Amino acid sequence: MAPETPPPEPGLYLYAIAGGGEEVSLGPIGLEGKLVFTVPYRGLGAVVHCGSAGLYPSPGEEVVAGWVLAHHRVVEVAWGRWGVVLPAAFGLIVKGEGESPEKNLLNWLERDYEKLFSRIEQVRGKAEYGVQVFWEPQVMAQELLNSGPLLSLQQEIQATSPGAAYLLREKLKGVLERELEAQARRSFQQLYALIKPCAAEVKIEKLKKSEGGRPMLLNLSCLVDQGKEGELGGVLEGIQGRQGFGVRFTGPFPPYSFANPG
Amino acid sequence: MTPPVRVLPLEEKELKQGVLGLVLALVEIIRDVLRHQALRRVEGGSLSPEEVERLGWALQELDRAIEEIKEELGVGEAVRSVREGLDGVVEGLLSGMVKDGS
Repeated sequence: MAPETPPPEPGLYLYAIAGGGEEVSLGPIGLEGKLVFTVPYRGLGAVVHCGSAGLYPSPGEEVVAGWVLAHHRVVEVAWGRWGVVLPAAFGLIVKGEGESPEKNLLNWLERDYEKLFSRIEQVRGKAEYGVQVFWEPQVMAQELLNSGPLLSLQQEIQATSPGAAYLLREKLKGVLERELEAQARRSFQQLYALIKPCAAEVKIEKLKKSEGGRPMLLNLSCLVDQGKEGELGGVLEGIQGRQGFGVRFTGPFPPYSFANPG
Repeated sequence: MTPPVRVLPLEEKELKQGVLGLVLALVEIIRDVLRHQALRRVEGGSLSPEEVERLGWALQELDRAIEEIKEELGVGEAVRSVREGLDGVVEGLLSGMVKDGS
């Protein structure tokens, strides 16, 4: 393999571990059109391309975006072909470290074989779905204001003198804030309890920035049996129908979030 | 000998805005503390209804005055960004404290 731009040290770029043990070429579908092939080991296949031990120095944002897309495409091809994959994170390169990168890769597969094999079996027949629930705090706040303690506080405000009313309004703001926070926590737990039974595994992800003025309340990655996604869809439709909630349901994806043998 | 030239008069205006923004932000923060204290005293029950009324009125007038000044000086945005920046500093300090186990 001719050396690439510096560093000239060779490396194997890893796309995924597939549940197939034959040595195969998938064609020039990799990053920068590299030839993608598999390195088999006992029924598993590491999906790789041959390159340098480091990615090109200081690429532009567009270039990197192109690479990430190519990475996903290869993972999808492998998923389609073998039915089950453990996707690798973007940018994983197996180096030589005294041996050939291929030897190093095989050593790793040998060492972690049990964990990798068992993980492959755990994700077989399943796909990843993203579930994000957004909420409208104003709607929630209105509901809270129309209930018990907050309602009587509002009546008090209307009945009293302006100076005292000002102070009571500030008090109301504080109470409302605390109630909203509590309600958000309760909603999270309720929604999680509704969604969990539909998935084999669920990962709680960080909340992302709000979009279009609706903050995110819940961000989950779900590993779902193929065939059970309708059930999850049904639950999410129910949530979408609720006042003040919105749902974003994405997938199916290869199990990126569930690939780690742990 | 030529007189000194005033360079970048625009910069001076921005500096003034920055300082005024900072001052008003601090005034708002003090107002918040006063308001918080007032609420506690009212809830504590140590004030007569007349005192409560006067306190509420005074704070309300203070709110109005601050808003008017911010509008006249055009520093609403500057005040907002100062306060957001300060929130960030406080959060940083607090999380540092929690990490230290103090």
